[in-house]
Amino acid sequence: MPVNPPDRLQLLDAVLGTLESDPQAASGVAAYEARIAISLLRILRRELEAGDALLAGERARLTTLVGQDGDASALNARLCELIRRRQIDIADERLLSHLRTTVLAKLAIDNPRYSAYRRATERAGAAGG
Amino acid sequence: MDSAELAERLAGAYRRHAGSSVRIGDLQRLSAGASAETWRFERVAGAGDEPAREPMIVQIFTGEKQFTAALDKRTQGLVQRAAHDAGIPTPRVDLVFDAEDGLGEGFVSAFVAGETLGQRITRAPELAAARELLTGQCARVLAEIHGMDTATLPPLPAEPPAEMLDRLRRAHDSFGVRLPVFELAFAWLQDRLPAVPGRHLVHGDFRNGNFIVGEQGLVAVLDWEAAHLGDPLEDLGWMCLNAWRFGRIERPVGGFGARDDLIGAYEAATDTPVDTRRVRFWEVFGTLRWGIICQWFGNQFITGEVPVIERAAIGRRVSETEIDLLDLIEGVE
Repeated sequence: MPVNPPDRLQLLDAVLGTLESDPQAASGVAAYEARIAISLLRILRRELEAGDALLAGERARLTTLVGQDGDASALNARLCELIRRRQIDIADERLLSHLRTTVLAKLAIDNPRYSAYRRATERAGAAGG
Repeated sequence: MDSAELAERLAGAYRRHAGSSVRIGDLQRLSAGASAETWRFERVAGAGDEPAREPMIVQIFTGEKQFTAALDKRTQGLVQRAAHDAGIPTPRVDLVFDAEDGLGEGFVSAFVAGETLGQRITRAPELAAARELLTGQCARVLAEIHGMDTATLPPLPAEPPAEMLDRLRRAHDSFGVRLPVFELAFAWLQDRLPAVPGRHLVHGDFRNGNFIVGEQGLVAVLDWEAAHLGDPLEDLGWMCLNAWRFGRIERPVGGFGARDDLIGAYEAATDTPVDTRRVRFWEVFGTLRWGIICQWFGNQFITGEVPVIERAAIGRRVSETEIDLLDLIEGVE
């Protein structure tokens, strides 16, 4: 039986709403650490929403790229070995495209405000539109 | 050490090193960096109603482990002193402590007023004129640093690029987290290891955030703890990392300047053409290095060595360096 609502995203929103409501509540080191705490909760929230899709996409691409099946971390370790032993060309378009897609999906969780993420997604949007 | 004891030992160190009798006024601890405790005080010299007062900074090593071959505080003070003596804009060093001072490893330097926050240096309206000057000033100061007579310096690390890369490799492997983008960067760098022309003083951490800026531009260079002997172009590459652009990705030099302007001014100052592929090598190397430093910080939280929330957050900044590495390697500007 599933847990009762509010669900985990709603709970996080409740926590974030409380923490963000009074920015004057803390000062000095406490305020600094509170701001970091809020940003980590935001990361968690984005990861709860998008983390499963990231892993599934990464795993599907890795399966094709390394020609094996397994979970994403095992396939990633395998890809690292292939690159390290030069058994895959580091200029290979499929490799670079996979890495870029994966890194952008990670940044969508870790820091979608990062300049290089914004540049990449704006250009992709412009090219697609 | 409490502040009364610190003040007494500082006065003693002034007597011992400079033969001068100074009073230590208004001693206050400032927000500390990762590896050092930093205090500010007023050096009060002379008697009477109007003694000479000068604001000073004292940095004392606190024992926290540093990433990759950072200099001890004593050597750092000696490098900064030599740079100041050579006419490089960096705060004057009054004292470099020895064992007799009872202050551990550390040094005293002049306090220099100005802006150090990269976020403000890239955006503050009152620094608009300074931003126009900064790129050229940085290039000329770097040329002066690289041209320093190395005989004036204490012994410094002098690893060839291959050894520097090996050291990063070992650090990365020690965390047990495999990242294909980092593997790609290691392979890319391995294929392009440069031959280094002679041994020049390299600042090692010359970037927006580590210098003081006033309305006339660059006022003083700080943080010599990564100084070493090597390829001067390492400093040019490091200066352009996206991590030091503070969101202004379209201005590669510290978030305020253009790469071509930095290289052009450096070529003019050194009268030597710059191999831009080597600058690119060091920008990729520096980005990988910063990424591995982020991993290291994150790992300090994971292992419980430094259980503070900031370290946990930095661990999640590794992905920023991954996209930066891909952009550099694929030539995305």
